[in-house]
Amino acid sequence: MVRSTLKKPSPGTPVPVEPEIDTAYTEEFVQELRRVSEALPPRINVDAESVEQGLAKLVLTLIEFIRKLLEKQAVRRMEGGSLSPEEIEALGLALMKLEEKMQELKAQFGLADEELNLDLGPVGRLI
Amino acid sequence: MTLYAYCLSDELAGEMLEGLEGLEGERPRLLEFGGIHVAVSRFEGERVAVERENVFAHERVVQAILRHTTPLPFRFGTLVTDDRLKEYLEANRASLMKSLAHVRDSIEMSVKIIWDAEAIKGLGLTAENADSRKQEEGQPSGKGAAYLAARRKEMLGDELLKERAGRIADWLAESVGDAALDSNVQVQPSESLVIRAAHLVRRERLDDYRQRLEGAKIARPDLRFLTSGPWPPYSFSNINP
Repeated sequence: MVRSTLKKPSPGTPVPVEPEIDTAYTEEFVQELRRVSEALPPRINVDAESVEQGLAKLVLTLIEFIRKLLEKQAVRRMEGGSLSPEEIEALGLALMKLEEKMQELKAQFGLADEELNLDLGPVGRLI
Repeated sequence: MTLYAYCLSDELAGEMLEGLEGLEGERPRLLEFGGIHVAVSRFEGERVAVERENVFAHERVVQAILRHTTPLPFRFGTLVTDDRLKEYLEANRASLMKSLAHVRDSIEMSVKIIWDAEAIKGLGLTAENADSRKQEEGQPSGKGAAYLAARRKEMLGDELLKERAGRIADWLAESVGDAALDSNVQVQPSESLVIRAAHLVRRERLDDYRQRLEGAKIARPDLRFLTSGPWPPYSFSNINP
């Protein structure tokens, strides 16, 4: 850590210090920050293949978002007791098949689970 | 002519840039439109490569200015033309002046927190197991029902993480209290890096802020912290010409 003293610009403005980084867990943070930065595309290449891949990623992200909402709704209804055992079974099977289909599509476009998300800036991530 | 934009302020002066070298070895200079000064340098090309040398050059210029005053920094890689910059400043003068007043005499401090999400999820699920078994007794035992039961367990784990992560964010806000003038906090319950917080701190409150944060870190040995700063107020500067 380095602190330096610099000339005072104007009365009343305290002299700032140089940036310092303080952690006892350097390895863990380097690993996590590297993982986060690697998940972000450095630049979007506008060629036919990457456009198709990008579009697939966007569409599948939205489908995944809706699928998770459907699952939540189904679980809420199951917990609320508004479904008969037959309905629970049928709903569960339908959602299971939807998940299997999503796995197939993800494999087809070479997308991992963690890639199906959207960074909404200060709001956080979509999923 | 293409210009690389570093930062802007109504308090910039030429001597703040003395001896500095910007991107591509160019000397940064000031452009002034309606009382707002922008630190820029000439740039050849259509885009800026994300390379160590360029990132450091950007940071060197902005950080040097931060020693004198608090500017609104542009995002790394911002290229503009003279005309576009003038147009942008004219159209956004009022909001820029408001943002400058907000960050004046302040700096940004960063707090990142890593937690053990899996352990927390595991604890919650252990407590949930007894209740789940009771519920499952009355449920059909087909594949579909088993799938929904598994999803339910997963969702309970996620909800627990969300609730615990929210508590950490609240605790951090209480810990720094009014030493932070403003904050921008991202909470990611499903990630190891659960909290990414940026605090806007008045320069004269920096020691107070640091002391409060040190106390907070000692109080939570279960969390792993990375604190850094002072930085230019990137998280409180949304300028995009």
